[in-house]
Amino acid sequence: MNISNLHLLTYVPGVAEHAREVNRYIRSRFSRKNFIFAIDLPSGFEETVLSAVKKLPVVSIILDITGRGIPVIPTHAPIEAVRLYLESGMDMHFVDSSLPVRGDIGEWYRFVDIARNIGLERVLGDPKFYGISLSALFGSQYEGEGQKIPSFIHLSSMYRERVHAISPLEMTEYIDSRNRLMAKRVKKLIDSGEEIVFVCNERNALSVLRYLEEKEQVPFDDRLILPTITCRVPGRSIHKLTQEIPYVMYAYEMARNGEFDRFSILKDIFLKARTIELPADIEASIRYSMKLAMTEGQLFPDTYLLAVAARSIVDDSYAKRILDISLYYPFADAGIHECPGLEGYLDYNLQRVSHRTICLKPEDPEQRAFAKKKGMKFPFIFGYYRWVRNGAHIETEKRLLSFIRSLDPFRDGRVGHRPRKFVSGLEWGIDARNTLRGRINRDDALYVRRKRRTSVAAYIIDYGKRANTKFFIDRIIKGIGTAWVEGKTYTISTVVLFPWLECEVTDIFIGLDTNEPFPSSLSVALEYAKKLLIFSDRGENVLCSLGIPRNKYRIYPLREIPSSLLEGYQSFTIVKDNLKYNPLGD
Amino acid sequence: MENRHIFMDGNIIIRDSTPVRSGQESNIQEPSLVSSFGEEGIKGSLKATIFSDTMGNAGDTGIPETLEYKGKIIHLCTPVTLKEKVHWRGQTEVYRKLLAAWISHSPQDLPMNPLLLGPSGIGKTTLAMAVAQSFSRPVFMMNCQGDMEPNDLTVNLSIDSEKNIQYVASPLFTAVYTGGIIILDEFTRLPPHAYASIAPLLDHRRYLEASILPGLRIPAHPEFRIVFTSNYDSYSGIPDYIESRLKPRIILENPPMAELKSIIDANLPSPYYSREFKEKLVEYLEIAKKSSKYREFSPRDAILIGRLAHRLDKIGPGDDEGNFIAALNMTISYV
Repeated sequence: MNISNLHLLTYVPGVAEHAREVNRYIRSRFSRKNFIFAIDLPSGFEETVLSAVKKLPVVSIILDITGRGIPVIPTHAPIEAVRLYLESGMDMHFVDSSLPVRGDIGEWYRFVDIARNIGLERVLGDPKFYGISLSALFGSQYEGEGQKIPSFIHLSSMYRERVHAISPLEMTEYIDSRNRLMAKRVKKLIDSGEEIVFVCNERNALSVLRYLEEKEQVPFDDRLILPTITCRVPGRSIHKLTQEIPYVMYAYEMARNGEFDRFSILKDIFLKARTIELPADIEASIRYSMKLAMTEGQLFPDTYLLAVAARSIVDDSYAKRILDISLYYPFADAGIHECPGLEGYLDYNLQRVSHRTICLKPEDPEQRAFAKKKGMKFPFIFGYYRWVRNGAHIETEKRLLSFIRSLDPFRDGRVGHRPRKFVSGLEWGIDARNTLRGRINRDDALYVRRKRRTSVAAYIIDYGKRANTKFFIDRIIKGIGTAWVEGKTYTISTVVLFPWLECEVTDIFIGLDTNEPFPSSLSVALEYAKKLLIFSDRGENVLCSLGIPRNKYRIYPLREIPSSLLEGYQSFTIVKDNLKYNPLGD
Repeated sequence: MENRHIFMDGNIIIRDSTPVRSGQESNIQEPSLVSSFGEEGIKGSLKATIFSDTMGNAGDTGIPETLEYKGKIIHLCTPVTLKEKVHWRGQTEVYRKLLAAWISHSPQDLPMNPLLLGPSGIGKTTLAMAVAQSFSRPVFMMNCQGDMEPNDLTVNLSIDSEKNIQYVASPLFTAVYTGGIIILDEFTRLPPHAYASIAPLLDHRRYLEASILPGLRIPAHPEFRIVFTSNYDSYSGIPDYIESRLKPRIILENPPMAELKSIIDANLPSPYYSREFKEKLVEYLEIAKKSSKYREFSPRDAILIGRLAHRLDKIGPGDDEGNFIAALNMTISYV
């Protein structure tokens, strides 16, 4: 058969490069020539599709009652072809079928009815349960696997044919019938002698071409045109329509007849999402996203890979901003309700838009500021929750502290002063700084300096036990420790109590190491206290080996603490757990 | 492997030979050297032995045994030797992430320095090994310790039985020089001053300096790749200038039960471990996962539980349930 007047343009659904190729091909070859468009959209849907295309760039989806859909988006090649038809006024034919019926049409109606009520995917997933014989309808068993994205989808069709062997879809009777039907219609158009531009999904193209050569036509009935609804898709759901990045769709729409450079658009996304990120990190994120795409057999990353790269190189907040910009499509309606049936719709090849999930935990800007103020690393890669321990332990803690203070040689150290509202007596002089600060805050009180009467030491109790967790306490006294947790019982391994601590214990307890409870306790304690008062049976050798100067600590054996206090303090139980707030209310 | 001549701050003579079969010795012609430091370091003909039976077909690539710098012999390290290929089961995404970090399509496109983060026993080192093997390069491994000095990461001194001083290259140095892949395991244990020696290796400069031999600066081989592993607990203590160079961060999490089954299947080989035994093991692990009596377990724990239960069964057969529970209690119980 002579098909020299056939121009075949294959596409991967939704990919901007393929829509672009249709646009350029028509504009470069047929600007002054007549031609006929043959598009692989279902015959009988012309009015519906044209009506939706006229509303572009507002995106919508045409869903039939079985749950199959046609996304009306700017980057979908058949939709671009319909737009060109509207602009050029050339002839256009939809050559696909809504349902190419072979055999008993009554059985098809039953299938349609069940699919409408239950959902196409569920019916296809378990046809026996619904009393449907797919082998009778489609001729072979449908295998409901997720969509496998073809590799190198961003290559245009002329290059894809060279680097990528297009494998035809698993040939079910349903697909086969559609392809035969398309071939018959295209053949009829070819016979008219006009130039035919056939826009066809690459999954069906080879099969349709093969059937063009066939002389014998299999009879089928294409009278079954299923009713459809057209839904406008809200901005938040555009990513459910297509594999394409919504921001790329927007960029394509903005420069539809101009230049389209995906790499520049992706770079734009990374740069627009930037706030405080370093240029080197931005560059690394772009590079890494490209490499991730390469490992998946693609030239360019999708939305998911952009977020993954940003998260791996920078942090979750940057990834979240990347995601927000990637999903940006300003022409979509913001306020309309969700389109029913959009979730998990199938295309006419019964393929689903595959989705991947990424869990992001963007940081709180206040937390970052806090970490910066405290000179800590951010983002934190740890978390904590609050609990309330048993009252007996708190009482024991009070008595223990009272006892340790009696042994403390570092009390009343010269650690400065603390402000106090003037009542009588100037104590250690007027605290000018706090008085002025009060005036700014409209507090007319006079502040005087009072000598701090607390210890400069940190108290360390080392029980010498194993630990599997870190904890902090901030009720009676600020303290951090390591413990062995069993159910709701904490058995303390080491604990560091700070009579005076400038920062919060939640800032510092991460510094403990459950593998080395005692050395890490010493290290954290020395960072935040000038002296150490240690109760441990390990002896001084350990401290010497750690290089702690002799004048920095006093060490006592554990037996110095009365056994009732020592044993009573060693373990506590949790009475309220998993509190997200501070039970003290501060 | 082709001879490489390094003309940085000194003379380096490379003992290397492609035609030599593994285990053999050969005379190598002295490579021609152009150096700013003259030729006092150049010796006559050299001997080299090629290591064999290493991961990633290192025997084919040929790892030199020593290299000479200004008359000083530096003994290079042996790559990791494994009898079987390391297989990575499940979690294909982390595999691809690490692979992507190491891909380089041009000399200007430098490979990244990925950091694998995750709890103990999750498979960080296994992942690194599995991906490294796919590059068909010799693989080196360093278990970092808290008392390591900068020289331990580059070239250090040791004294042999005849009380001669020897220069011994670290696995990192050897990998940099030979174009191997180095896995720095639990690198956060390193003391802060040790990090400084690897900083230039992790940015665009891509070289390693051995302070014990002044002037010895090895530019990284184009095939050189590095990966760091760390637990969450110890990750917070590394300096900013190193942390900023460790990109991307690849986080490993506990696999879902279906993937754990596949890991168990691969690590408890049939017929020694029967299918029924493995199915029962998975059942008990599912119970343990829901029970508050047991802590969260990693794939390593799961394999250990299986091995332990099997051994208990061999000692006192008959009570399957008791053996599984005993193994769970001994491995992941809070007691």
